[in-house]
Amino acid sequence: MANTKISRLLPKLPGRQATDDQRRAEAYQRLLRLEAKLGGELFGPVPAGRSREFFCLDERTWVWHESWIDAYGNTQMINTHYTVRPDAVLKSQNNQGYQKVSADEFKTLRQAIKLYVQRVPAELQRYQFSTI
Amino acid sequence: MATQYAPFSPEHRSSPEDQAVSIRMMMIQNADALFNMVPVPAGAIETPTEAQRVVPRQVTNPIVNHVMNQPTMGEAAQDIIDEIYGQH
Repeated sequence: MANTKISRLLPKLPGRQATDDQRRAEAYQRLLRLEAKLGGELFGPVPAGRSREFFCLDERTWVWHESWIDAYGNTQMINTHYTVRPDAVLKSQNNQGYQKVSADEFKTLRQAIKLYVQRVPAELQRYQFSTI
Repeated sequence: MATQYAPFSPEHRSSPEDQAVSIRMMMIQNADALFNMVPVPAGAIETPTEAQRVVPRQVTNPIVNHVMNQPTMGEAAQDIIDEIYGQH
């Protein structure tokens, strides 16, 4: 069922009906998609034929998703999770195990998060659900 | 007596859509705070001011402290990403 997993990210609110929970989960997913698009634009122009997204999945997980069509016409994609732990930031690509990010990547990620925090919340507040 | 909620809490705003916006904004704020607690790796320090971040900050935000004490999402995060982007 759609939004079943997304609802894991949402706090349980007292006295809410199931329909409200569903609306909240759907709204939440729309916001994630908006954030992913806005986040992907933080790194400058995306080359033609590529799709780039970057967003905060939860308090400790940042996601970079990039896809493109290769020379053989096949869709390629890289899904990168950054997991923030108390002692380090870990990186996993296409769910292939975790490793600590390098100093350079840490620096770039920190800059990206700084920009994200500066720009994205304002866009969320302006977002009009009724226009979708 | 009506329940009183803190301003900007998810419960404070009226519609489910507004609540989703509040939750996302809090999550981004908490994520930023958590990231800023991570010791900066050697080689990523640029200025004396940033060098202070090598020592993890004392964070008094109870939400941040709660999240830091939870296990990582691991596979749950992958499930949610699969839901957003589809199975590959």
